[in-house]
Amino acid sequence: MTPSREGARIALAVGAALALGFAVMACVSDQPWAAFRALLTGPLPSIERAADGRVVVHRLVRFGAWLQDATTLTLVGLAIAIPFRARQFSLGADGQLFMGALAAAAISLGLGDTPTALPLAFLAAAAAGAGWGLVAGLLKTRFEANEIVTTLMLNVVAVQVYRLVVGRVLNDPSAGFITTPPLPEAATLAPLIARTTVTAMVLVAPAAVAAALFLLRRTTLGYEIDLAGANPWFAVRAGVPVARATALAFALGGAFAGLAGFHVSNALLKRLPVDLTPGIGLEGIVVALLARGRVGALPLAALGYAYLRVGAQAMERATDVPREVVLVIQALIILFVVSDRLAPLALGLARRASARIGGRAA
Amino acid sequence: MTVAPLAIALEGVEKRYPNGTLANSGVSFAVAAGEIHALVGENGAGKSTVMKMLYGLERPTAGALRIHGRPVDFRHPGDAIAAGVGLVAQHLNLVPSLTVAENVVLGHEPRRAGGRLDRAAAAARVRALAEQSGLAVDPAATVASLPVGVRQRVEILKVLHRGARILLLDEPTAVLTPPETATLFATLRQLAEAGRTILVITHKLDEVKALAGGVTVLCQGRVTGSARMAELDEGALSHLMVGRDLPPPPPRRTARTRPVPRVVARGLGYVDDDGAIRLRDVGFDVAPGEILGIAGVEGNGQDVLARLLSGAAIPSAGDARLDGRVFTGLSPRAVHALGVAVVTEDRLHDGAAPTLSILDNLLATRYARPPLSRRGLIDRGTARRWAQAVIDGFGVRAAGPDQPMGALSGGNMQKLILAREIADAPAFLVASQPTRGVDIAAASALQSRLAALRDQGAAILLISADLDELLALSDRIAVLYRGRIVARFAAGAVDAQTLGLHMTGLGPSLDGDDHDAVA
Amino acid sequence: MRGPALTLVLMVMTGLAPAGAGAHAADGGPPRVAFFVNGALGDKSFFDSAARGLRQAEADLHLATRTIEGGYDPTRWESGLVDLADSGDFPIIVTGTYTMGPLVQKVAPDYPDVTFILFDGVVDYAHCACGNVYSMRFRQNEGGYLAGVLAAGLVRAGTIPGAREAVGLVGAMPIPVINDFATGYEAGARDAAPGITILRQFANSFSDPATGKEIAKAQYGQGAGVIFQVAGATGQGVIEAAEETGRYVIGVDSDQAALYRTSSPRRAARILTSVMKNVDAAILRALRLWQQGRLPLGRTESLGLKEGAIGLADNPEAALAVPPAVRAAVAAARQRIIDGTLTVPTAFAGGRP
Repeated sequence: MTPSREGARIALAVGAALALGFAVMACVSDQPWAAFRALLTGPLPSIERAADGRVVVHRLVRFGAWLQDATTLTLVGLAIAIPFRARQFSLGADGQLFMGALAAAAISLGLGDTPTALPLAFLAAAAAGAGWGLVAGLLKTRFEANEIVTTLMLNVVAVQVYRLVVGRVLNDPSAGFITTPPLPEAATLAPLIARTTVTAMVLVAPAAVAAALFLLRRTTLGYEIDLAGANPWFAVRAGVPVARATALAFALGGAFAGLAGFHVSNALLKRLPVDLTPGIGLEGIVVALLARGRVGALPLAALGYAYLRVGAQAMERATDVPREVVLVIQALIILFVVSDRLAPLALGLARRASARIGGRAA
Repeated sequence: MTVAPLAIALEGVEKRYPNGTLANSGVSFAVAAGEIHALVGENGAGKSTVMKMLYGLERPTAGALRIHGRPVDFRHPGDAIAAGVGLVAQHLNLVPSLTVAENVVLGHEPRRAGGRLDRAAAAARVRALAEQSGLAVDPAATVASLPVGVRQRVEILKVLHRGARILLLDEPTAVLTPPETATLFATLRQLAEAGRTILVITHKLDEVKALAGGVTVLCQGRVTGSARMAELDEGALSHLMVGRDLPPPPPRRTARTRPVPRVVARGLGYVDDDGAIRLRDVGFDVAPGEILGIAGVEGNGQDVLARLLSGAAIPSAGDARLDGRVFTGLSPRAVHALGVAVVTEDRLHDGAAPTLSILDNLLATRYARPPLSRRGLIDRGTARRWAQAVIDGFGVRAAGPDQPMGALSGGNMQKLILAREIADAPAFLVASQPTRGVDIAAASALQSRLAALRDQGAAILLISADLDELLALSDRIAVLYRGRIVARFAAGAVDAQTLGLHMTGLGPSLDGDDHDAVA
Repeated sequence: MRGPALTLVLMVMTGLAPAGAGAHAADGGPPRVAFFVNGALGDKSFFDSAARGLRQAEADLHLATRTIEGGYDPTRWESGLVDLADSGDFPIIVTGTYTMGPLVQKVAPDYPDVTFILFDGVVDYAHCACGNVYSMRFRQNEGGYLAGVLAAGLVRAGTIPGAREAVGLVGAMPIPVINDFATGYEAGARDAAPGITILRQFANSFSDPATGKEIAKAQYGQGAGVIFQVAGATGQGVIEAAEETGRYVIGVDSDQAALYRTSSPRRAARILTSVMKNVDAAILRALRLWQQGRLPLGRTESLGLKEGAIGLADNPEAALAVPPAVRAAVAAARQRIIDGTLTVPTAFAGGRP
């Protein structure tokens, strides 16, 4: 499908989903317009002129939350989309993220306030995520273990290892809750925009996508991953090391999930609480689906999905729409966008109608 | 023109898929009741789409269909069946573990009180139908035990049982031996004489001549010609089908075989995971500049033989050597590196990646080494220039190296696959079904390429179900039956009928291991 | 289909500017209070109790309150908190737990016009310009001590069939707040009955009643006559185990006997009492002080028995089982703590401020 057609399709799907969402809101809310507005404009900062003529920017934090969310989502999206190039349905971004965060925090705390702490924590996060991904990859290629099951189980293992290490090894006894000590300042990223949590990671995410694209398009490994995914039987007959490529696809995806963990530990929280909630990895699946598995489209999909998430939160905060309905509307929009046939159907009908009219005229 | 009422009529039919692909455009043709009509054209020309629309699997986006004069709008096959249209699928849809009778009545079963299948009634009904339509089958036989030709008869019976007056057949002879083909044609003629209308898709010129009363040629989704057979001579027909006169058949080998064989296989055997013996004690020699043809009904070990020789499977016994070096049991990449190239039997399954571009498909065997890649980085510029050169050099009709492989016709796809495999000037080529499902012009071009490769000194193992092709290209022919070589012939010393007998196990058996004697 | 949808979007997009600005400081209306929950409501204890306090404040103090559930993803809490402070809609923001402490400490200096009330958590006033933050911590160890005196006293009295000289404790997780309950409990039990066996185990979850029940049954099996559960929803399993074995349990946070009184009287009868952490009352008190301009901003208040923030619930059904002497011992311990003649050990590093 051409980009313009795809654009039209997505616009149509989002429009239809919003219309339906509005209908739902009108049923449950006394102020559906306000709710709708909050949903659509929530992530944008509001710029006002104060009484004394100064320009005041409010809610920059929401804008920041949007970018921050999109950064994490892009990285976990890569963790799903790259194995998917090899036709592997990895659900392991969560575990890889936890392992990445843990490795980054451990290295940061171990090295302390030294200039090497930041780059080494970054690399450690990527390596830990990659290693955890490779485990799933090897289980698949060596033992034919279903990757959906193994990645889910590895998530459980990773989360429990994380809790064990944070609770027993890296625990900060002086904190009022179970957490690591704050990471040394030299190992953490400072915000780029004041009063937000937007850090240099917001630039790392598109760079990661570019790197992934280069890897997939220009290297022999990327080619092998593509071929293994497009037709493994053919790839085997052609002499491509399919097992190796498949396992490495998991590892590669895991490296990016590990970076998402670095984002959480060294940019957002700057320490790791024991009850860091799993689940962001599953959001990566939504992002990868929205991008239709195309790596280049991940940042856009992540921005769109993060916009929706932050807008939904804004709606929840600003109006009487209950949390449950907010989640329903969020899900509806996703549903519409990923429904392949829906929009083409509508476009096709429109074309057919116009063809009929045109035919009559002729 | 014709006085018989029209059974099928298409008027300006268009089919555009939701993704924008235009499969058919302005297709109009008609088939009279009781006529056998051939629908010919390359793979991807839109023949199958026409069939699907007539059977309710697809709906036209414009134009009209008429069945027996009545306009119809089939939404699903049920509508088509109700209107008396039946489809005999290319890939037979039978349940192997059920009997012939059970398969035929499946979905329209006679039932006893309580809803249980009335087997006796089913058998009687099928027996009556078989006699009435001249399709000899044993209703009590299990389908799994039947040869392909008989299974096809069962499929036809199934369609007749549902009351079809119009039969659609999609490449019915692709899986048949020559005797089976002859039987099928007789059956179809008989059905037509009894008033049934038959629309058949085929690639083969001689089948059109032998069978059809009328022919319609499709090219790139449009009708490029439609004629009654009586009005055509052979030249006109081939011109209609190919768009130009047929190229001359590939030149026979002229050079003498050098005495030293290039490829020597001895005692090759293969037992699959279920313990079934798929190949037993297969041996042969192929000399440089020689084509050894392997004939056989599908499923008699040809696929296994090709897999063993390409590194896709490891033989349970025996080995094969190229210039004295054992190459069986190695990985596909190692086998390729030794100079063995492979054209696989099913190009869409393991011969190409249809969703990837032409360029990516061509890279598959060469991407890992210079000049196309260095230190893990693929040189896309060089690769693209090479791909374009291949497209031009092999006369492939394609928009460019970035076009998805799956968008090409079978002939163009196969040209690219052959081009990829012979790009490194292999010493030994294993070519399985190289022209299956390919239009006549492309098949002819592919055969010329094989001949050229042979003339350059390569050894070629040609595995084909097309006996004409085997007879035209091979220097020697061996017949595989149930995993063994049961007969060997020198080219020119055998005809299709004899081969057919051996392929079905009816020929006098070969005694002992005498490959050396023939080689 | 496409036309109307697009129009709808455009209408909203163009009509948004004024509304996006929000209603600032609600001129004329009642002061608006935001309660930021770093989780979700419905826990039947801690957050729900706090929300109750907010509702009470709405009724008693005529404040407009709004509860915002921040969800369970900690990466969104900071931006959620900043968003509230930044909106300018809320002159006062209430939030709780030790997890939120560092976040409040980070955010509060940027918004000096906003008052932060932090319950069950602290900021480090020495290292931040947090003159707009009032924080309160609870001396749950004092409640734990009373529970220990009660449990050990009852066991030593020897009136519980099958029980040996042992008391138990089932905790959710070994976090400081829970440990503080436990430290007080163990001290109380030892003081009331020197040499008594004290069993302590953690379920490592706030929401796993099955594990809670398993642990409780094991402790009852080892002879514990009373178990103090400090385990959130996990504690429901402990209460079930008490009902099944006919032993006793002490609840936590809110009056848990009251929760079962009508639905399951047999269960309620096994709950000796509950150590109540009156988060609702403490929040109501803080808001009242704020309204009166007397809220001690810039410092941490420590609230315990004396302030009425910690206490034991009355459960008449089970009270009959407690011998008068034990009741008297509990009352005496309570008085000594309030008087300051008894200092209960704490699990918090550095002791109490």
